[in-house]
Amino acid sequence: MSKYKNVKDEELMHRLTQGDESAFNELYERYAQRILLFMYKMLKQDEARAQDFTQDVFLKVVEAAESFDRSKNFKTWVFTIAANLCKNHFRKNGGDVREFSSSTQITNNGGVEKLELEVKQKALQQEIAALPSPFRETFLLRYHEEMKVKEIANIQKIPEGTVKSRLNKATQILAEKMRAYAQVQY
Amino acid sequence: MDILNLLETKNFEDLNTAEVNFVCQQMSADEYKQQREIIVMTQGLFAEDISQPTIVPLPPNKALAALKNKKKSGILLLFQSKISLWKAAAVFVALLGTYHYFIQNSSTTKAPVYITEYVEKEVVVPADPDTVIKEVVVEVQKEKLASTETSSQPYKVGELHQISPLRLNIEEMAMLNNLEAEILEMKQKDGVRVSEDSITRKVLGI
Repeated sequence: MSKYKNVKDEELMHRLTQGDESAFNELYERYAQRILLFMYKMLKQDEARAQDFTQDVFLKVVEAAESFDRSKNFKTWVFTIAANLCKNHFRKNGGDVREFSSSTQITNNGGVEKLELEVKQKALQQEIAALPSPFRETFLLRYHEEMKVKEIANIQKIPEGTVKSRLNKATQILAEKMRAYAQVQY
Repeated sequence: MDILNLLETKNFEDLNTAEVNFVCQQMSADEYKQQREIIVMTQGLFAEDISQPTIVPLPPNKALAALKNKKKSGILLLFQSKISLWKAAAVFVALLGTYHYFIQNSSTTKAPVYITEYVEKEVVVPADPDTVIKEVVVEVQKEKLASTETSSQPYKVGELHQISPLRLNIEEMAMLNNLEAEILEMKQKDGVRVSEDSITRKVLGI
């Protein structure tokens, strides 16, 4: 069991500024998986790139440790780094192009209900990945990271009202896509 | 009341009248149900993702290497830290200005003065005298002296010493005293000492 198991993230950051490697390992343990999954979904399930970006996020954590304000929330800070990396990536690569992968092919094995659920889940994953990046980021922070609207507003540097409208819009888009998908399937 | 909050927490069937009215002002019941389904499915999907991750993060090699370098650098940070170009230029201009200022000031300073001669002056401090000789002036009553000079009357016995016009100092007085004593001790032709002579005694008032 890590000696830092009960230490707060912000305190770990303070120790990290003093060069404490164990503090960094504890932070990595707590957040690496979540950041990786967030990246994975933001980058349309490109695992290799998601791994690279996750490494970059934690590299930034080490490099910018001194600039972290301990009165602020570490989770918000680290996801802001992750979100900014994604934004820069999309900016460099000329926007957010929708991609469909072959993994959406449905295999007819298992019960009908389970199959239906799997099909729906796969389709939903695809549609989430295909959302325009600002909506996708807001949607993932809300339902994947279970963040509060206020926290998301801080990360994306937008008003809380905009966060809510983006969530509503994202939900509307997904509902429309899923309805169209259901009409094609059935 | 917040539509997002309702979508995240309640099925359409669970809404109360006020909430149903609120929802129906913004969308149809079917739309609400579809959006509600999306949110519920998403939450289930992501919960599964986190509990059973399909991918695991790689060891943070880059970050650990950076952390080790950071620890090593220590004093080298002074040289490794980056500053913007305008700051560097500003410092350069400031240094150049300071250098020119000192150069100009040093050219206008006076020529140096060298010491070529040492002058020594002897100061004589007078010693305190151990003996003080004071001159004592014996004043003579001028009126009486004047009267004696003009008077033809003989001097009265006993007043002879008072008409002395002399101003004597101590040494002279001592000398006179000695002389007087010697005279008094002298003997006359008949063998009688002057001091025992009756006339002399009357003259001197002895």
